Amino acid sequence: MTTPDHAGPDEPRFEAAFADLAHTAEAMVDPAPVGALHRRVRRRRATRGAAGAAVAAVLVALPALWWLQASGQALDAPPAGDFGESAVMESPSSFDPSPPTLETEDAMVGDGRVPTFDDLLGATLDLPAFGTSDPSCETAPATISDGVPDWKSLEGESEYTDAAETPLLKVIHTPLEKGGPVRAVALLECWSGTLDSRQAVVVAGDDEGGWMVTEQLLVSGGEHGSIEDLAPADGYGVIFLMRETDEDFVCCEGDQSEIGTEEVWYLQSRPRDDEPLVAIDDPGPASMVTDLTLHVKISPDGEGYLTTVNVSNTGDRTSAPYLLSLCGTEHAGFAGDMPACDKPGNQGVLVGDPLEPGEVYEAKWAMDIPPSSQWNADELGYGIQVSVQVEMVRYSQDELIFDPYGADNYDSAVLSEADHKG
Amino acid sequence: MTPTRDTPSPPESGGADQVAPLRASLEFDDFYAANVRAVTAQIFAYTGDRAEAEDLVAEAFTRGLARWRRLRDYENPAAWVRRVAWNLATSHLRRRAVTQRFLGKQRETPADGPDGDRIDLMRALARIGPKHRKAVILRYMAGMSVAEIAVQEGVAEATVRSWLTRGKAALAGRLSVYEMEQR
Repeated sequence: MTTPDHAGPDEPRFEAAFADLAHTAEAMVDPAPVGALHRRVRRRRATRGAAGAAVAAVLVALPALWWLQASGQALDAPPAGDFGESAVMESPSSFDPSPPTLETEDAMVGDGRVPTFDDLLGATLDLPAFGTSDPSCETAPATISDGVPDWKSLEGESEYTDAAETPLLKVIHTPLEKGGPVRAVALLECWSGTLDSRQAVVVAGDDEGGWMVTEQLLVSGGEHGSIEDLAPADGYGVIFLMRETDEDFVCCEGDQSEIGTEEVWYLQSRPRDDEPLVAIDDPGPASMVTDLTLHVKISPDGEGYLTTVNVSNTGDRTSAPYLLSLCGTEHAGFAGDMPACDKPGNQGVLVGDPLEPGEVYEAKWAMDIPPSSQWNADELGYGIQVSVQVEMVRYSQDELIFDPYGADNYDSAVLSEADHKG
Repeated sequence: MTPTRDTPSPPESGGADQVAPLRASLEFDDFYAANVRAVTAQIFAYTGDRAEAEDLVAEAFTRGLARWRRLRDYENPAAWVRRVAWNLATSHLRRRAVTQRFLGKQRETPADGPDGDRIDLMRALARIGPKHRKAVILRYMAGMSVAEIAVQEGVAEATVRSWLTRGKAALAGRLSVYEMEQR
């Protein structure tokens, strides 16, 4: 063991206790057989190979199309921006393996094409380094994938991303200088998915039909904090919503009040100005940073019960659309396929329209709760429970979207056996 | 026992390109066998869930295998895998925290943990902050120095010392409570 450099009177006790725990835990764990890892790698390579083969088929087909057109045979040209463009974008020769050149205005502009979010999916980009020292963050090249949760499917966040892919969270279009051309600024994160492994880069078309990073505007993890979101600044430039990442975990007692308040602040990047990065107090109309508050109750309703959920915008900005999640214990008795609370992830039931400050959205669900003789052991002990959660749909539009007061984004209601009339 | 289990990288005589695939595969298998239990035990102590820890560590080693030709030339490939495993665990725990917030207080400490004094330590670990928990596990289970933890976490050594001091104080407090409860 290395020399203790913070030793105290409890040091031997800690060393002995942890050595004992390590010994026991190592004996307890049952690692996957190494063959399973080999099979997993082969399967992933096969999947990637199949995708590559499909791209290769399109690449082979394109010259054939051109040859047929050149030879005068009747053939409709591929629609502009359709598969022809995407095929070129995926070409292995479409990225420049050298680091981004930032010396000249031409290099900063690229070939003048400005990508959309969808344009960049599947593209390979040579990225500047992420702020984190995590060596597994791919940069040269990075394969860009969709990092935005599939809100429309109401499933919320997916499991962790493949290390070989770099999630793209958002693309905005804004001039970077007064009167300058519109550029695309992309927010990317390392696959590890933490706030301190994000960066904002300017992406433009290269001269070969692909995409290239022309400059890095800001990287998480340095002196400025971590990037939560970005939006076009008024007129030109970019506004960043920054956030402290030190302790955004819930601590472990299960006390929801510990979720607390997040500290957020704003930086304005106008990279061609004399002051390229300044802190600002008010992001103006670029902000949808507001506080959504959630309440749920169970109340009698005729022969049954009603679950009533209120979502309030108690902040001072218009909210973004939000995902409302709801789940019940086994015998909560909702009609239809309402989610059960033992399922991991978000149990989205609807995406609500934006709320103005002070506005309240109310939703009700009928419950047909069976007699307590049918309840399971947890329900007999703790009651029938309904839990709800609300989260603004991040990255869904140009504005900054964040709810810094997480403690009131969760609520639950309980109907105990004693209160049940059945 | 010595808690340090990271295997120093063996010196290599040739470039990765010269190594036959079979030999590289066998090298990985040895590397996996030498390191997987120690890393899994650390992640188990961090997440409190053995099955989750096994899955996360399997994923980390799978990523290591996928790039083994490059990784095997690193000075310490075990440190790379350990770091990926910790990143996965951190992301996973973050998502699980969201789920647990959502589900309320229904989840308690692990049901499949060790017994006796060790379960007290696991319970105490589960109740301290994640950064403090990570620091004490890396220090006392992985046998890493403050400087090594600082490099892995990308923070100053003073920050790691602070995490350790606070983590140990919180653990000591928790363990005292459990001792009193058992009397």
